[in-house]
Amino acid sequence: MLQFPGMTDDDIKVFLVEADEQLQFLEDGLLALEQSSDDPEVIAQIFRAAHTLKGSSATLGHDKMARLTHSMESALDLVRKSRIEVTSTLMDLLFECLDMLRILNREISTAQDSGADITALNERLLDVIEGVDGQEGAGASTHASARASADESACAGGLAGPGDVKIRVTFTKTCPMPSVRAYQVVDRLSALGSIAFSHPGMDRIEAGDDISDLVVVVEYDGDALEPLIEAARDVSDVESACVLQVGHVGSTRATAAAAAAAAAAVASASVQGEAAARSAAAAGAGGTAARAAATAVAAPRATTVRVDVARLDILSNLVAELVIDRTHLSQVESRLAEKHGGDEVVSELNRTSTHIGRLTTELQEAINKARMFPIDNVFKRFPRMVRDVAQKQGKEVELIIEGEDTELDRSVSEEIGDPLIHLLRNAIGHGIESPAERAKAGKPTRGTVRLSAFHQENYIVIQVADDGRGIDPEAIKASAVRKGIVTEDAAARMSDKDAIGLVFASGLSTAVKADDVSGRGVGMDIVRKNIEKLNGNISIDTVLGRGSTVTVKLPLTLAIIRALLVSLGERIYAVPLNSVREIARVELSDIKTIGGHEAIRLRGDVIPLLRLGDIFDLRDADDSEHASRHGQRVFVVVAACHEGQVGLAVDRLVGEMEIVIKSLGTFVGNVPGVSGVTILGDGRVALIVDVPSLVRRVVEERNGAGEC
Amino acid sequence: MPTILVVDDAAFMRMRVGKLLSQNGFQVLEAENGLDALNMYMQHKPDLVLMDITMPVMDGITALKEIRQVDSQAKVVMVSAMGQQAMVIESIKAGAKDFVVKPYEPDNVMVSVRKLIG
Repeated sequence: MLQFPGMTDDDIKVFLVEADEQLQFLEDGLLALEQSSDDPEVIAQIFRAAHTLKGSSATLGHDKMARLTHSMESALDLVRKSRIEVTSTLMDLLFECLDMLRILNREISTAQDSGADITALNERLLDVIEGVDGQEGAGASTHASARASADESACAGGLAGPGDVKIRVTFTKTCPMPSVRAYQVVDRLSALGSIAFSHPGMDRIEAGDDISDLVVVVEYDGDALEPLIEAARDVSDVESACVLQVGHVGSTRATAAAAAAAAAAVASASVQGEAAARSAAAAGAGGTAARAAATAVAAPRATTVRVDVARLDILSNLVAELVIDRTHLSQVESRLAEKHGGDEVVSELNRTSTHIGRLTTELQEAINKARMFPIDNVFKRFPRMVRDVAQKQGKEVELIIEGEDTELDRSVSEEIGDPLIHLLRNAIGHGIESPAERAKAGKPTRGTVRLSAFHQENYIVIQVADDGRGIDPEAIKASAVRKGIVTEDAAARMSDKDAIGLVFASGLSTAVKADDVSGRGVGMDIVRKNIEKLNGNISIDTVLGRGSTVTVKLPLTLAIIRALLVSLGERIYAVPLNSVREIARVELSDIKTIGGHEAIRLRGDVIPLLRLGDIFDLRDADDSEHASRHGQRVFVVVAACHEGQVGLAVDRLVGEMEIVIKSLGTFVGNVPGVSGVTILGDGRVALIVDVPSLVRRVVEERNGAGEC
Repeated sequence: MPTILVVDDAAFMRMRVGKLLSQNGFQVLEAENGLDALNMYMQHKPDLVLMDITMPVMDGITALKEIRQVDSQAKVVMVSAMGQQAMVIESIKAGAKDFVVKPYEPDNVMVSVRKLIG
């Protein structure tokens, strides 16, 4: 039986859904890589999948998956940097790793250890990495550190340092004084190593609290784990004792051996307490009854029902359709009222349709509420992670969590976990300084990372704030120039704010050394992409020497957004309101052509101008006439995302409304520039404009032209 | 034959547990308080002591400490009532090897005893 302490069934479910997706990415990527071995996009995709799996599995506490994906990531990083070639041998190895990951994933979904051993695969990966390091004369030390870090990631799930063994002990139901038994277990283990941590804590144990199981982390020097298990099992009323995790115990091989020993120990564990079980049957036990009663009092009767998310999705969809029909109904009704004003039947229809309208709104609100749950579900896995990361880096960090009751849609909460992990790791890795450095700067040695959530209109705002060193715009500029992201000239002209914005650029990482904590610069650009995919946005405020605050703003639900409706010819488009910066009326004569592309100048800024008709190949006959119809001015909607802004030339502004997002469906597939469709009140279909992709297109198209 | 010293101020309890132990092949000695137990221990060096906690004249924890002063290898199992967690923990800190809870189940007593003396 595999157990993941601190993880609920829901957590594991979320992990599995995501892992399946990542494994699919990995497989698709590997297949594509076999076809074209030098496509950087494909290599990046594989690398990211391994990276994501590594982070998640370490957080979950699945040691084998964390170790294997860590080694894969290291090898793929070398591929990404063109330091190793994609040979058929390497492809075979990667496919074998994929198969192994699927086995490990099944271990998690079935909660059964498969007995699969990753050691051999891991060694082969390390040999690949070693080969490169050897050739380049980096020598044994780099190799050693790769190996060490592979081992290190094994304990990322929560062990304090090398030599830690985490043991879980459960007591029989009939155990008379579990806290004393727990004390005995701790007492015996302390003879074998020093006790780093226990849950419940020693104060609760010594106070005689009623406990049912015990988790102890022992700093242990021995190679074999049996003595620890034996010591724990030797105490009466111990039902089972098993090793949950092993930290850095010698080499990779020693760890594997120790893990195997632990597995054997677990297998034979519940032999104990035979006598106790028999006496339980004999006792009939007043004590047991009393305890059962106590548990009943402690756990209030639950009044919730678990519902499959798919069912809620169906309900949401039906309600969305209803909302559309309601709008349609009221339009029909007002047309009737115009025609037959004062007619008794018409006013009756009016009353009914108003009532239906109100009910529909309430129904929609109720369904939306049913899909909400507190963000605590996402936040609760962080304290442990922060502790581990901080400890590994030798930093002192206090995590303060605020607003964990803030509710958000399930669909959003499933997507937000990973970006937040990145942000927290960055805050600790790049933000918070070492205790010595902090002391020198006159700060308390213990740094603070504040994770907070609150509602703002229809958005949830999540902030990760640290009181660390802040971001130096000059360092960012220098790094961006070095990596060829911007020219030296452009950097010199860049404002501090724009320079800070560069942290979101792909391939920029100010950390000199690739590490387990903040990754290899796959961080912020992916975070931003993921958040923009959710129709959210992300920004950074930073004060050098005082700390940084990253603010993520997300819609409460992914199903409904506020949008600006605009028309172009006969067609209506929806622009998500969170990306609309402003609406301007521009004289036709003010539209300039720069390097073959249209642009407008707005308060000194040059903004590329796009015509949706051109993009979607919908140039109608009337398209060219509209300018004359509307005089010499056009409306320009300025839409922006982090990479920049574009102006969209439109004929008319229709209005602002809440729209229900429908995906284009698999048969249409991904259309560049379109993120989905929505059905309007009158039954017409409007395309939802995908602003980030348009901006990216413009940036790519016009970068060659110099100015954008 | 291994010897076990049963310490309890209640004769009934000494009798019950004494019977159980002798049935299982142990030689049984009895003491009715801590001081009594200390004297018996020094005289007979039993292989194991089953020590009640709450007793007149000298309580079980004091007796345990005294006995451990005399013989640091002494094997003492505490006998406690429900609710005496803190005292049991204190005993274990003072060197008690194990504990059983009154009213005890014969099996539990035997498990504890056999664990300490084969």
